[in-house]
Amino acid sequence: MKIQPRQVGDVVVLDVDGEILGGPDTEAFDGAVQSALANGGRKVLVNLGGVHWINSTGLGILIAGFTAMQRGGGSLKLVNVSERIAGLLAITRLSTIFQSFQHEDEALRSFD
Amino acid sequence: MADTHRDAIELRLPSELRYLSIVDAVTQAIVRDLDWDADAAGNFSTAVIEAAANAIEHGNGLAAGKSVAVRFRVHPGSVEVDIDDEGSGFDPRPYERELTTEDLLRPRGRGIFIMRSFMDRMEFQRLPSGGMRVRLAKNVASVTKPGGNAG
Repeated sequence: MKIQPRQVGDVVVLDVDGEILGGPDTEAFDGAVQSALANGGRKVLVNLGGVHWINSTGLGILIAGFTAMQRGGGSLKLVNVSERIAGLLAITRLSTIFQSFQHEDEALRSFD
Repeated sequence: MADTHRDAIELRLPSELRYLSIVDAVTQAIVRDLDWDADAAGNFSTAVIEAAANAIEHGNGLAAGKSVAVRFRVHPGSVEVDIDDEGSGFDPRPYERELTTEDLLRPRGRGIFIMRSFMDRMEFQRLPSGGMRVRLAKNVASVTKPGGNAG
């Protein structure tokens, strides 16, 4: 998994490429979220356009990022979620936790 | 007419999570050949990957020198997958439960639930070697595209 942050206004967009599986992915994703918080960021948008599938550990990584942002007074949302990942979010009821969007501009506006 | 003679397809992986992409590629190739619809193929592969990931991480403890075997068998009415680790086994019973609202934000503990949700059958067997086998099976009739080959 590769993760590349970019700034769009006051939103930190994390472009993720490759599958989120656990192991070193955990530190990389957590590091990106903590970095956003440390720099005063309170809005994180995770772009999963480069992620075709995810396992339960990967879901846990996203959840950890979500709760870290919540504890920091911010929010974390998802964009470009594949149908396969959307199905997994639905079956685990995580679709009730994560706000997901199909288009980045719509996702960015939702933080306002 | 269904072809009743099918070969078993077996992968043997080192205990490294990065090889899960190979499991996905092989799983998807097998069920594409059976003309499954995309959603069913994705869900099936997700369940197989869960089992393989558990075998790598929890069964084998990511230990170098330990491998995970993933064996596919295509039957006329179902596809069966065995995922074997070389660990020391575990009791799956605490994990065989529905997810509760309290579980939603827990970072771990939903792998077995995912496997059970996407498969028609899930069994755990202790191997003579001490490791664990997870057997997953999906009935073919529910997953093929209309007019497709049911395998």
